[in-house]
Formats: sequence, structure tokens, C-alpha cells
Amino acid sequence: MAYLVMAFSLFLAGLVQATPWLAIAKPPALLGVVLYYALVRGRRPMLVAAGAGGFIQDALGMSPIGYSSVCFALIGLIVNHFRNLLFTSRVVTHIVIGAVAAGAGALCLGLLLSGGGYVPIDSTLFLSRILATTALGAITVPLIYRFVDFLHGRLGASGNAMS
Amino acid sequence: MRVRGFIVWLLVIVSLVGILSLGDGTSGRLKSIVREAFAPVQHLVAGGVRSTRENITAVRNIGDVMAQNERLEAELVQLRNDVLTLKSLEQENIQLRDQLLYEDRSDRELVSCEVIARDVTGWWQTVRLGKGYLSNIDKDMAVITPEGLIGKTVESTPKTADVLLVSDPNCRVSVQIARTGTYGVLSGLGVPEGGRVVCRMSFISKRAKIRQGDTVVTSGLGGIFPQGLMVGYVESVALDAIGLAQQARVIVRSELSALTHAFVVVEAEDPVDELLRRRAAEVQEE
Repeated sequence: MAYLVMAFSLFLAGLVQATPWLAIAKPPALLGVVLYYALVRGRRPMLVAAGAGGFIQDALGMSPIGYSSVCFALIGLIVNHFRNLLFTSRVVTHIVIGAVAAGAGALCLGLLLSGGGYVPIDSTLFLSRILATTALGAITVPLIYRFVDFLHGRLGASGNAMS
Repeated sequence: MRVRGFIVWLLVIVSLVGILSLGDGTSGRLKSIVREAFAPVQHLVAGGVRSTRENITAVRNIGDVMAQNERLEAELVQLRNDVLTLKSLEQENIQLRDQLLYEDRSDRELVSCEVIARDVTGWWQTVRLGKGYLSNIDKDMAVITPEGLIGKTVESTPKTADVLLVSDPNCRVSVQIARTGTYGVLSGLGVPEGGRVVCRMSFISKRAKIRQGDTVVTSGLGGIFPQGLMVGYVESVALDAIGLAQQARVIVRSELSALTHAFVVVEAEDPVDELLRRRAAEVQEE
């Protein structure tokens, strides 16, 4: 059940991220789901969410499969490692972690894509995308966190079932 | 316990390397499966939001309906007159082509598609259409709106097709200035400026006299974009960094940020090609 909640959350996050009315700015909804598991659940469910979320992002987009999974997993591992030092249930934590992780995720993916020659290296474009994603991360991640937490709570899919 | 942990990490790394080195074919198939799974829901969401937005706009603009109706009636009369004139010109054109023994122009049809999604990462300027190769939409086909060119198809699954917009730096289009016939290559700048989509037209001859406001259309060179599709207009012209050619800033006429529908320009099936394809399929079946 817990993994079904994860799959459903990732599916919805994928839909939100691909919305046609958000022209250039992309809310990091899939990364938000990964961050929830990194903050609240164990390493294993976080890695599963990172792999699946990254796969959905790459499959729906133009990036080669695997690139986003690598970025999500790296960010998830770092957040998961330091989660004992954080007030994981505070909204401020979600805003800050959301902003930093979204910026870092955009930077990581951008570097991988430019390195692979998939997107042109343009410093202005690069910086503006990272800043925009950082801002959106601060807004999106707390909302996603609440949503996934609500689903887990309502459906009785506790974290114990995942670790 | 330590050995088990090491094996798990090793498996994770090996599978990650395996995924990262997937071939284009396998990767394309995997992407196709996910896109097809998302497409029906994306259709629903896109349709629902669009109709809600249209209803709200209709209620808000109810007072303008009479005035709009009058204007449209006048436009209809004008267009009917234009059609009559064009019909006689078409007839004349056919006769002249016959006399000059011109080859028949290939027929093109427009496939109307709904825009159901956009690129999820933000690193590309793409939109996803709700029709794919089951509707004869393939890779490398021009995509237009009534205002003009918006891009080309880059990937196609049975029921979806991805369009790389002209605003993306990776999208290059061979264009020409309609007034002078001067050629150039158009590429996107990536981000809109003040709500407008700006592109760069490069490799323009140094001697060409280009004015602000000149119309830019596709040249037909390169094989993807048919000739004469409206792209936009010139905002400014300057010499490039080396000083060997001119480059112009071009404002794209189509509204790329609010796309709801688009048309894919599909070449009509050549009867000979179709026959050969059918024969090849029959041989394969045998």
C-alpha cells in the first residue's frame, strides 16, 4: 500500500510538472516527492522514489533516461544523511530544503545535459533557470510534502511498511 | 551485514550504469510506454482546464458578443469576396502550370492536434501534442498555428508527438526575408523577452538591405519546413561579431506561451511509396 501511495504521488507530480500552462518555469514536483521520502522515510524508499521519479521525468521529457534519477538520488541521499539535524516537520525546513534541493537538482541536471551536449552552454540561460527553479522549489516542496503526508496518513500506509 | 550492504550498493551502481548506457531504441521504447500511459490523463486535464477557461472568458466577454458578431459578419463578406477572386486566380495558375509542364505540387494536409503537455525539466522548449504516428505524424514535420510556424516534431509515439519550438536554441530553421528573398538561419534564444519570443536570424548576406518590420518566412530549404510559412518579423539588424554577415532579431508571430492547439503539416501519401510499403510488409509477413 505504501508503495502504491508513492506511485500515485509520483504520477500526479509528473502530471503537474508537465502542465502546458507553465511555459518555462517548471515546479520541481517530482523532486518534492523524493524529498518527502528523504526527510520522513528511510533510505530505501527514498532511492526507489528517486529512481522512479527520475525515470518519469526523463521519459516525459527530452533528457536521456537515467540523468534525473542520478540527480534525485544524490540530493535525496544528502538530505537523508542530514535529516536527524533538521526539524523535519516544520514548514520552514520544507521551504529551505525545497529551494536548495531544487536549485541543486537543476544545476546537477543542467551540468549533465550540457556535458552530454544536449543543451547549449549559455551562462545567462543556465543561471536564470536555476534561480527560477530554486524559487519554485520553495513554493512547491512544502505543498507536495503536505500532500504525500496526507495520503500516507489517510490510507494508513505508514513508513514502517517501506523500510 | 556489511557484505550485504556492499552487494546492494554494487547492484544499485551497476543498474544505474546499465540504465545510463541504454541504446536509443530501448530508451525510445521505454519513453513511449510512459508517455502513452500519461497521455489519456493529460488529454483529460488539458481539455477540462481549457473548457473551464473558455467558459469563464465567454461569461466575462458577454457584452462584447454583439459587437464581435457584427465585426465577424463584415469579415465573412470580405473573405467570401477574396475566395471568389482567389478561385479565378487558382484556375489561371493551373492553366499556366499546365502550359509550362510544371510538376504537380505535393498535396499537404494539416492534422489538428491538442497541446497536452510541455517539457517537464524546463531545459528544452517543447510541447507535446495529443496525436502521434497513428495519425500519420512522424519525426521532422513542420508544426504551425494560424499565426505561423511554431516548430518541428522531434519524437513520435502512437498517440503523442513532441514538438521542438522555434524558441529553443536547438531548433534551426532555414528562412528568408519575404520582401527581398534573402536567406538566413533562424534559431531560438531560449527565453522570452518581455513576453515576446525572440529568435536570431544569422548568416544574412552583408549586402542585403533588410528593414525593421520585414516579414520572415520559411525558405523551404532543408526539407522539413515547406516554403512560405510565416515565422515573424524583423525587429533589428546588425553585423555579427566577426563582421562577415548580418544577423537580425526576429519576433515570432505565434504566441508560444499559450498554445492550446497546433497543426502538423503532413505530406500526403505518395501512391507509389504506399504500394511499395505494402509490398514490403507482405513480403515480411510471408
